[in-house]
Amino acid sequence: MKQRDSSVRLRRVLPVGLVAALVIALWAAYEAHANVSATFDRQTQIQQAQVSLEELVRYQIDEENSVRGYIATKDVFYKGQYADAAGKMAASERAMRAALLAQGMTDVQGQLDDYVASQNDWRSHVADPTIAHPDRHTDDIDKRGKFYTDQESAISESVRTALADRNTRLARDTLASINLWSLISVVGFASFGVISFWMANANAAARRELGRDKTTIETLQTVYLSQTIPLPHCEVGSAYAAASSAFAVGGDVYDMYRLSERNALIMIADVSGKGVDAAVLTAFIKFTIRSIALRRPEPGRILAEFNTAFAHAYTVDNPSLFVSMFVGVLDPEASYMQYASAGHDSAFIRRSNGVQQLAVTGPVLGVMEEPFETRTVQLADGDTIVLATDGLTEARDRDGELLREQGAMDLIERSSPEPQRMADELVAKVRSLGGNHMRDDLAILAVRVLGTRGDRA
Amino acid sequence: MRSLLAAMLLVAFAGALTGASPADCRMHLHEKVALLGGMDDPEVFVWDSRFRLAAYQTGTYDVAKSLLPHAWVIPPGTRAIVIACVPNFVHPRYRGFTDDALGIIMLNGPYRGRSGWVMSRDLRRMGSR
Repeated sequence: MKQRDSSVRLRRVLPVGLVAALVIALWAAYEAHANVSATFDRQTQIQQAQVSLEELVRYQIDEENSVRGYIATKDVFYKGQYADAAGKMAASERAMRAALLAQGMTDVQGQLDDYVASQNDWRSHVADPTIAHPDRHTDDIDKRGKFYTDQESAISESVRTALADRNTRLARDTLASINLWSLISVVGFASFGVISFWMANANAAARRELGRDKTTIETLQTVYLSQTIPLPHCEVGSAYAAASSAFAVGGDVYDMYRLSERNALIMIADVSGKGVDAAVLTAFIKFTIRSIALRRPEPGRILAEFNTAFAHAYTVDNPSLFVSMFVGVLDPEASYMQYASAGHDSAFIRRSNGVQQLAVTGPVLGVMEEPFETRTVQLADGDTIVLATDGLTEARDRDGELLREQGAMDLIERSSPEPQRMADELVAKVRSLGGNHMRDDLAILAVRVLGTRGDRA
Repeated sequence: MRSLLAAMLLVAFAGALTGASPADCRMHLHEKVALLGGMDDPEVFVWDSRFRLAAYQTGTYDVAKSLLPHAWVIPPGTRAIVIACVPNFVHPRYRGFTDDALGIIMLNGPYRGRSGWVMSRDLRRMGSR
């Protein structure tokens, strides 16, 4: 029982785990994708800065070479080339600043400021004076030119290294991040697969187990339910239908047993539990009632003795267990029946003028030590005693409406007078009410009293 | 003769100031070299003091600029001989390396016979590219 409970709990938890695993896997896959996109954007910006830097250095060298060319040739072509390179250098500087700003590389921006300041100084202190007076070239101008070139060369090398480092670090960090998220994603998907497989197995095992239980219970019910035995002056019909769900099967029992030449015991009971345990309990009920009835064929005493035995045997360990039961001792020849009902209200007599419900004469069994009243009811020829379990009165239609006692009595009144057909029709009606679905087990025992007509038959 | 004397003094002075051995240097003492800067600016600054050489490389823009009167701009290809070395003396500001300060005497060109200090990166062994 405990194993089954834990199995049920596991089957409730597994879907949550399944959804969680899928969510984690998808989230991790999304994060990995987002990381790749972000890295691609950032690397594009760094590459843009690297390209701009190389352009900057190239235009700087172009400027210097133009000045050298002008000094050597005095050709104005070099002056134009110098101005052109200076303009292009400004454009590259702007592009590089934008890329550095986007990357938040403020330290490199500071170096770029130094670079630009040095180049501007070179223009004003070296290039412009040299172009203005190419013949007045001095050692001082040479020194300054060398100084500015040194500065710019050092700065550009430093910036180049910083950008490469940033690119490498970004790629390394991103790779680590992608590896992590990919791992989480793979673990998530693997967990999803494992849990799915586990769920499928658990469900299949549960279905097999329930199927076995249902087969066992139905077999027990079939064995324990009495075959209709011939009684003089009577016609007997019975039917049993198991609930559609394996969880709702078990616990109904009826019996018809000949106590003497004149008397017969009729009994129907409904155990509060379901399943194999309840089905086994029906055997206890059936044979205990028979043995008591053989000694004391008085329904109230039968129920009282059974109540004591039942309390000792079952309710000590399981206080919530109880049984509703109807017991009748029938004398068809004398056309009367003594009966007692322990909380079992699905007992009726169909007479020529309508259907009468038989009264409950005591509480359900297993709850308290109470006397059970025995009543006697007169029967006319053709009267039919109809005993049912709560599967009849608690049958529901597709809208969930209960049939109740009055609905059951209406059904009984409209059904065939022949007991076996009546029992079969009642089961069929309940089944059709629920859309071919039986919410609960249903047992029917119908006994038609023929009186002296039975002898003639 | 005066140049030789000055060179000997330079070697003695450098050796006394540093504990490093010239054996750790990238160039050998008395090795004949040619001066050559970077490809984009092949001229070379030769400094009158190795400390100014180091300060020029490590200092700020303004500091470096203020030191220019203590340097000569030497045309590329000028030959020289290594007469002193202080290993790993120079730590350029923006660059991730250290370099040796080398004392040299120039052997030709307008500064023939003068001595000064350069980084080993600005020298090429004779016969090497």
